[in-house]
Amino acid sequence: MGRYIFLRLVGLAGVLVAVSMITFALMHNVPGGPFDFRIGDKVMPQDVKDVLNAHYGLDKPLAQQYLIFLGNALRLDFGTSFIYINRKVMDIYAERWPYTAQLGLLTLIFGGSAGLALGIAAAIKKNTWVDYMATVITMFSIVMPSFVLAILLQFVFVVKLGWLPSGGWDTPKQWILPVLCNSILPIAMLQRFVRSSMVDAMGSNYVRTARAKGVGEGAVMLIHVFKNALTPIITVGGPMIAGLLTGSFFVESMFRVPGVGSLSVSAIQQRDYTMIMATTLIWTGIIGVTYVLTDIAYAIADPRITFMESK
Amino acid sequence: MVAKKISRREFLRFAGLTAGAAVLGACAPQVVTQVVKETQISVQTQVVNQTQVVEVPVNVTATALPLLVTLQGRELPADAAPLDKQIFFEGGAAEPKHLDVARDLFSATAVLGWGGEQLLHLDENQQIVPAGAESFVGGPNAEYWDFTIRQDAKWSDGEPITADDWVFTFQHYADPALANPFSYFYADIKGMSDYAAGTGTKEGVGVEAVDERTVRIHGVNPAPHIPAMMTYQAVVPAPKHLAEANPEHWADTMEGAVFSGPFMLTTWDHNKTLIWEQNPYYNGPFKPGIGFVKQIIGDGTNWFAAWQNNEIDMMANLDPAQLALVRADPVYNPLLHWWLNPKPQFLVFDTIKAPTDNHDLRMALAKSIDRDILCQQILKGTETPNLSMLTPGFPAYNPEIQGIQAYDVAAAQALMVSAGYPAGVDAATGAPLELTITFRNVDPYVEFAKEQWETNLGIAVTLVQVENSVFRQMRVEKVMQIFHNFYEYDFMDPANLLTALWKSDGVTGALQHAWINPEFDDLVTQAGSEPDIDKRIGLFQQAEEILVSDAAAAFLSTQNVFQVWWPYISGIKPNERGEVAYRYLDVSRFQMYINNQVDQFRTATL
Repeated sequence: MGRYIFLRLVGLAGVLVAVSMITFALMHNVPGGPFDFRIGDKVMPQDVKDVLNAHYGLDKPLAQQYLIFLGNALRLDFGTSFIYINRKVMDIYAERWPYTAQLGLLTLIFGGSAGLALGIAAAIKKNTWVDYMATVITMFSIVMPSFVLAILLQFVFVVKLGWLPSGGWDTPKQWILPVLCNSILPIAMLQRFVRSSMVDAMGSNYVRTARAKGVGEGAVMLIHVFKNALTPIITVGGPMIAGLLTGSFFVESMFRVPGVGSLSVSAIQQRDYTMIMATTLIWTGIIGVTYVLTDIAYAIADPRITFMESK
Repeated sequence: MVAKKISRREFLRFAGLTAGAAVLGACAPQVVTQVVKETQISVQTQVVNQTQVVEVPVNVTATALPLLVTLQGRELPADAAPLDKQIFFEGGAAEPKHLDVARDLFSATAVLGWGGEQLLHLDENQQIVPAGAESFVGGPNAEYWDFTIRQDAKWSDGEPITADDWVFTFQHYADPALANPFSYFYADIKGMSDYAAGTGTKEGVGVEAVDERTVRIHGVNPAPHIPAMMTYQAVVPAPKHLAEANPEHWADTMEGAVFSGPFMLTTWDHNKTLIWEQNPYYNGPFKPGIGFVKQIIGDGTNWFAAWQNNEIDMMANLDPAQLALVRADPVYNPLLHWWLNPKPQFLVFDTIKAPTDNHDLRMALAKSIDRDILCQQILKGTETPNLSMLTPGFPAYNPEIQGIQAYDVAAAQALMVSAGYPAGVDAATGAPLELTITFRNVDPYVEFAKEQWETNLGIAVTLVQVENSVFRQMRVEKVMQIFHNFYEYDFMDPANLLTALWKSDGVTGALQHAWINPEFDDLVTQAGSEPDIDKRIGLFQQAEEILVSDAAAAFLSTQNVFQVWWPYISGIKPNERGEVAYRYLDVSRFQMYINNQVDQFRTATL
């Protein structure tokens, strides 16, 4: 397994280099530059822009700029933000990522629990009102965009009832709405996958055998059904966790969560080159590592899966 | 409430007692107290008959208290809330990248208006009034201006604000090592452009200390608009005693920064909040009523919900949907305020390339848009029709040129004929005329223009939406045939809206617009250095008439800023048009205070 993981990580390094080259080339070739937004909606004279380009090294040939970037990135130095001037990109991430991680963790706990519970309940009570209700909740979660739900939640719980604040991240009361909003997709995804996996497993021969041997229903469900239904759940759960760790633009913006979710979008809009590169590579890294961990989790959940090379 | 039945005898007895008490009370000498706090009126409910219940005051006590006085010595009116409740909760602030407005204003917008003080301010009537400078006087032909800094003006660390600070500040604005993206704003000050571009020296910057309190600012040419320029919110000083040693990073942290204005920053919770408190050393003319400002940081947030939930005090700029909601709500509607903001909106034509190089075509396009429908129906009253670049109330505004581009379909159709495009068809080739409007975001202006031009003139119009950065780049490269543009004034002088935006380089046009008119260029150049105010205004009016007559753009409207705030905000003075509004570029923020209704509404805490 060690060799497998090593090879996967080497592959990930190659992916990172490829992603960095593509992103760098695209970023520099779309119209607009990082200084246009630093003067509001005014227009900067070209001579002022020339001074700024020279100041930030953007007057150098593109290949040279890329090599400089790559050299620094290898030391995890993504440079200074063009928009958050004076501040290192990694410092900004270090400051804001804990909020995103906290939101992601709370979402995982709530959304994961709710999704699992609904999925299990729907599978056990297949074709009953419980199943139908869980399906309705899931359908609602799938079709409802998070930014619409955010407005809806604010309208009901903030404006009409006045029970909760509209945003912020200082007190547990302020966590409720963003976590609820952020959980909607994980609930939907987990419910569907858990239900279908468990329904498949419940119809299998080994479950029938276990019941015939007199194993209790609880043990059948936990040991024989749920454990065997885990593989597809891991498949969907890995990328879902990666998504939660990289933050949500809409949810964080709408509820004033000071995380990293909005950084990527604002970086692209404002052509913050260093932030775009850092965000892209950090996300690529997180997603890559998550997939490696997912593969390892497969082996733990299902002993039939090994990492031995086929002969 | 259940009415208790009483007998006629009981009623007469009580009424008699009450009347006697009232007569005795009326005969007592009148005591005038300046402030009455906690006037306690004991009220008893009495039944007059079976259906009417009256409340009768039977006991009055009053406690005279002195007026509340702020840290800076301003006496608050009698209805002011206690000092610890003089807090203004402001939403929508952007996380500052640093606190040095002078260096790079758009990286420190949250600081604007609170932390720094310009040499001059605009009052509620948009008239220039002293602020950091107690007086100012122009030199011969307005070639330079002398500003006398207020006696005993101090930074928030107690150090004096001197003329040397201002000399350093202008050098700091243009320091090429700092690459200030806003340095071009000061191009009319001698030596600033050269120094910013790295071709001049800081000694060449035309700002000098005449004595400890007098700073002299030289224009490149005679520059009568320099005092107006000094009112702009970004023209605030940088402290030489701190910034000179470390010009790039002196204001990276709250602890390292000092402030010249009425407030100083005392809490900076990154990406969450900023809290400002009154600067104890401030001795200027704009001592605020409010003692604290809590700015809540957030972008894209539903601030209207936050206002409805009493988390913030004010919505300073309602969008059309919010305005409609406020107007329809009996609670919110009385809280509505508005003001006319000089922010012209216009459709710009590429006057260098065909077919929009054709004057009659441009004028036909300009005259075929019904601004009344646009402003009232499409934009729900958030705009007022305005058919020129300068807006009502702006210096040199000329109402007589409003008719040039007035809506007139018949005249527009006649112009299409003279332009060679009768009924939207090219008379020479027989091909239908097709125009393209490029726009960004959601833009009702261009959608309406498309509908009007297609309906009234028979032109086929294509709308092309591009991303904001792409739009900006295309605007600089002047590759858009027609686009929607706007400009919010920086300072109250025609040079800001006419010269800066429309004076051309003679080859490709103005900075944003492909329009060249040598006569216009000459007039605004002359006006820019004309010290006689009346002559200057006349020259700008002539120039603007050329701009509108030549249909460089179809001028559409200017902004009505609608605001709502809770009734516990008081003190903002009405301007001469009767508008009571929170204008972010003038002194209204310092006039306001929190009145004693605050406890009925506010739930937020500092």
